[in-house]
Amino acid sequence: MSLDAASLQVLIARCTGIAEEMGAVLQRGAFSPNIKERADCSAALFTASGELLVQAEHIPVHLGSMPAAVAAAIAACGGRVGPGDQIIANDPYAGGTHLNDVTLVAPAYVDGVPVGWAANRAHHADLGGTAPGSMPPDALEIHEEGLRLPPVVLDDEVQERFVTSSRTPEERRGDLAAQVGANAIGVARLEELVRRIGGSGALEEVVAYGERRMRAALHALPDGVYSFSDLVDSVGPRPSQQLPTVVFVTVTITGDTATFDFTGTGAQRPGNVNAVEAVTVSAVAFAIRCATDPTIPANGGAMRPVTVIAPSGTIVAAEFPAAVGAGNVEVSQRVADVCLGALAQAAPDRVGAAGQGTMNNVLLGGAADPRTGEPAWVYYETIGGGQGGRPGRAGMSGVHTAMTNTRDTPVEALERSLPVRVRRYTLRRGSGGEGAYPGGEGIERDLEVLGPTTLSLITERRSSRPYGLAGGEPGATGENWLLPGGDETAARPLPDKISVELAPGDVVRIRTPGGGGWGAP
Amino acid sequence: MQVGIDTGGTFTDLVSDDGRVVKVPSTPDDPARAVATAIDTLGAGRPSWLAHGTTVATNALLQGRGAPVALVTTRGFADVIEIARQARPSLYDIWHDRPPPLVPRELRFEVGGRLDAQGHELEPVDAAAMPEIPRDVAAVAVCLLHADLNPAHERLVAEVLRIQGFDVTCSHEVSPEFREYERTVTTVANARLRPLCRDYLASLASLADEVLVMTSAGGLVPLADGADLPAALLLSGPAGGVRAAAAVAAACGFPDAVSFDMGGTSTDVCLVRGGAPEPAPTRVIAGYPIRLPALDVHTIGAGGGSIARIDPGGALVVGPESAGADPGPACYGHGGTRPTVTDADLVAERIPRGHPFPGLGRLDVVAARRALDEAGVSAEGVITVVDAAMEQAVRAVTVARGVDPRDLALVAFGGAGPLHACAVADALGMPAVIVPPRAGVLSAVGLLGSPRRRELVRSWTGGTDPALLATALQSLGHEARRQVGDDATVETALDCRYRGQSHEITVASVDAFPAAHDERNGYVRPDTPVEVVALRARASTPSPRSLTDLPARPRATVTGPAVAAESDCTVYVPAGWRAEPGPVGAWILRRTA
Repeated sequence: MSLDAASLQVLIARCTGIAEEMGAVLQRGAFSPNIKERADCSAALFTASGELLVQAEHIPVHLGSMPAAVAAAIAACGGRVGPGDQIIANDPYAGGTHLNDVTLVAPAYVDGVPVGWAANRAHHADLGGTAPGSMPPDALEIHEEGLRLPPVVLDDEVQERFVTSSRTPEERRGDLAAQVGANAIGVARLEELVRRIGGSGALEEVVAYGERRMRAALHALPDGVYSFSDLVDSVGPRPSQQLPTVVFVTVTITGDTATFDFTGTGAQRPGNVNAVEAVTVSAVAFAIRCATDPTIPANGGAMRPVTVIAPSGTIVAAEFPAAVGAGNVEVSQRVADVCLGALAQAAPDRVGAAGQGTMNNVLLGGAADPRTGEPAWVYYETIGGGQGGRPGRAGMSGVHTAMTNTRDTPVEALERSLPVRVRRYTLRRGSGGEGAYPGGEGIERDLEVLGPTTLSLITERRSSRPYGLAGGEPGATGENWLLPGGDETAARPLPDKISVELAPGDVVRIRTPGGGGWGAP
Repeated sequence: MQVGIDTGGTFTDLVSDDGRVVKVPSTPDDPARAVATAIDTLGAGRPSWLAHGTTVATNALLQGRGAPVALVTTRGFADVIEIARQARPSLYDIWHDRPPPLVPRELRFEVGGRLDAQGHELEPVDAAAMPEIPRDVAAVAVCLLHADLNPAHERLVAEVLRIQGFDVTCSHEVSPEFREYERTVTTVANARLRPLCRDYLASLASLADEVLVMTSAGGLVPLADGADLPAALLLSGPAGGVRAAAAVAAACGFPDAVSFDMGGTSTDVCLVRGGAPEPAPTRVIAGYPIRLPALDVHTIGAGGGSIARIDPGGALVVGPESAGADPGPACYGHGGTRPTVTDADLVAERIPRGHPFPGLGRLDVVAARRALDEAGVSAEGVITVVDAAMEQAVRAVTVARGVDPRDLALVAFGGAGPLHACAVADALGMPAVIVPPRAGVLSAVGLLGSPRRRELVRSWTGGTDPALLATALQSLGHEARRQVGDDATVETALDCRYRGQSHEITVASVDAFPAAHDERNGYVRPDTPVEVVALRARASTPSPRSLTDLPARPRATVTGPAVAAESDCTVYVPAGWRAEPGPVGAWILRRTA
């Protein structure tokens, strides 16, 4: 190690400061509530060779998967970009996750020499496809989900193509501008930093530091082989899709290394509940930090001692042309669940029972209304649920768990901007799994639509239940209901994944799962 | 005699209008006792005017104290206060919980009735079916959806409850802006703090002819107003120091500056532009969003008491653990064995070895060195790391907001600020460090010179018609003036955004919005309509006493490397820097090369 302990920490602080500033610029400049209010975005710096250097803490599923996007961007365009250029991509089969997550990658140079990359990712509310929100639950192939951009250099033509693919083009333009601005800041700061420290070589020290931290944390775990299995309930709304798929992991801890082997996981199926490998890697990275040391920096070094084996063609490493909209938001949750379940055997005092295990994706959209001049609109929200009971403490209620951490849209903000009314937003009493330390409670949220609206739901844990640990009971399953005209007596259950047209006055009721309990009740 | 008195964690500081300073130990069980002792110690009799900075509200919120409050919400929304914004505080640390809801479940009640997004009634309130509220609560907070647009339902519920004998606070009275969670928390926090702050502030009333208290926004209000809106006092403490820093910097020729208050466990920085500290509409305190006007003070959890260690990856980290006041740094000799920033400053001879400190005496350099050695860290290393953390804090309020620090002075105060300021200024290319006179008691100084001020906010859905806006602003301005005095000057502002956005920028007029948006976010959208979502009015009268006419004590020119110790503050002048006496008794430190 060439840097002393203090210089290393100073460098880490400066790199982290840059990523945080990028995140702040992105959030501040973004146009859509999805990025500004919900903070569904992430920012990071990479070394010249494409290793993750540092990232601002935003959304776990973005963070662990961005290295694949940057690698793909460098592979496709690295040789033909120069100062000021930015690469744009959202192709899940080229380092992306699902189409909504758009990644921008920009090179940094000092004296003409490449010194690193700035990258950021933001969830765009709509990029076309067969349903508003670009995550149609009934999609079988990725072509139905919307615009797919392989890594290309962003120019005016690409930008126009991108923007016009969306049902809400003006919002896209604003959000894309914010992403470009955030990377421009990241590049400028990184170049300034490298000049200041006299070269980019020291950046490798930051990555090496991450590796040492992870090795120390893995070394503290007992060697062994730990496996865990759980289910993804369905892969779509069709009867043939309403069958579970096994997600299986075998974790092997040997000295200061770990292997996560998903052999035994079910094959990918026609439907959108398919995760690409980058998503699976991000869930592994998430689980291992939770179960060992949450302060381990998330950089490329931290993943060097970790091997992920995700057999191609399974639900955790889907192959083209599978649809993948829900892989990012739902399969990722189950991958985190099984990894944590396995790691709980190695670190029983550090891992809680399963959280709700779904993001409860709700997508609403309406067409333009020529009479009022109101433009088309798209709204996306995810709903929190119960956190699993923890060794010595009950789980939190009504909170996002595992691979997401977006904020809610305030009821008053939502109602004042879109033709939607929130009828209820409460905790589901008694939905947490019983235990010495019970699971947290899910949420009950009723949304009334005020005009003709397309509703898409992508939810999980409507059949399987979030597991308890150490003798605790599982949490309650979630439920989806439609109340035509808001009529309680006419309420009918909706499947876990569905696209449906709603009439004015219809109410959709989402009851999210509770967390599992920890310890015998 | 006019005095400013600031209650701190360890000391209560008094500064009088003739420039005298009194420091007495704080009395946390009853902070008013130390305030009275400070006045007695000054020995000038009963002051005619007392301005006070208090931590009573802050400590109560941090420690989960406060009166039991019941909450009444729109039916279906009683749990909003517990769901918060759905996010967890830490991505990876499953033990990091949200702060507990300020009202437990058994005290949360719902009432029928609903307004729509324009404030029109969809369903009337059923006053006959009012929930049964336990008699033993101290107060009831009423927070109904869209009450910021139409307070009728809240008023009706409040009326029924008041007839039943309850002390009722409505959300439209405390925080009349949209976003229900933030409005609810602010209203409830205010109701919880009221009994405690009312009693405390009442106990100060007899200490001077006129007693004012500092708000989070850096303005003084009469005790009665403070008792009514104690949630506006949560950042009372830091506000005084920022005000004074801004005034001293302006007097030294730097209307644009950053205040840098480095204390024992945390450091506060605040951007100052045109002589005025930046305002913030919301601050998160102890995990709770308090949506009342405040100064935009950015706080990081590192200070003189922060503990240094080598982490498992071989990096030297400082904080977030702190030795606090007890046992304190190893050099205090009170049983602390882990090295802190203060220990490093002492070993590196930035703190003079033989100098007696109030309440501590001489510091134990042997213990400090032992603690550093045993942790395997060097004094220089600890200082380098904490300086980098301070640099990041200053970046967060400047560079990250598009403000170039190379045009700003750094105003250093607090116990450790003047020890570390030059390194921070060097790292950011700031041209000067200013150390105000009485830098160790600057918050008390600021209290003496702060304006009387009241700021009002109202939600607005009335469009952008200039005539309508002008009328509404004028009426809000009148209301603000009425609360301060006929001679008050009134400023008005609007919270604007492009349609479709969910974040607002406060500007003087709709016309000023595009430029402000461009400066802050980097672009304009000429084709997108601008919306006004809130109106603001601020009435102020200046302090009877200008901060800058306090008598100055002489300071000499000091060329670095050198340490200059005063009774309440120690300044480290590094090699290549020189401190020269400037206006109003300040030291201005600049590079010599």
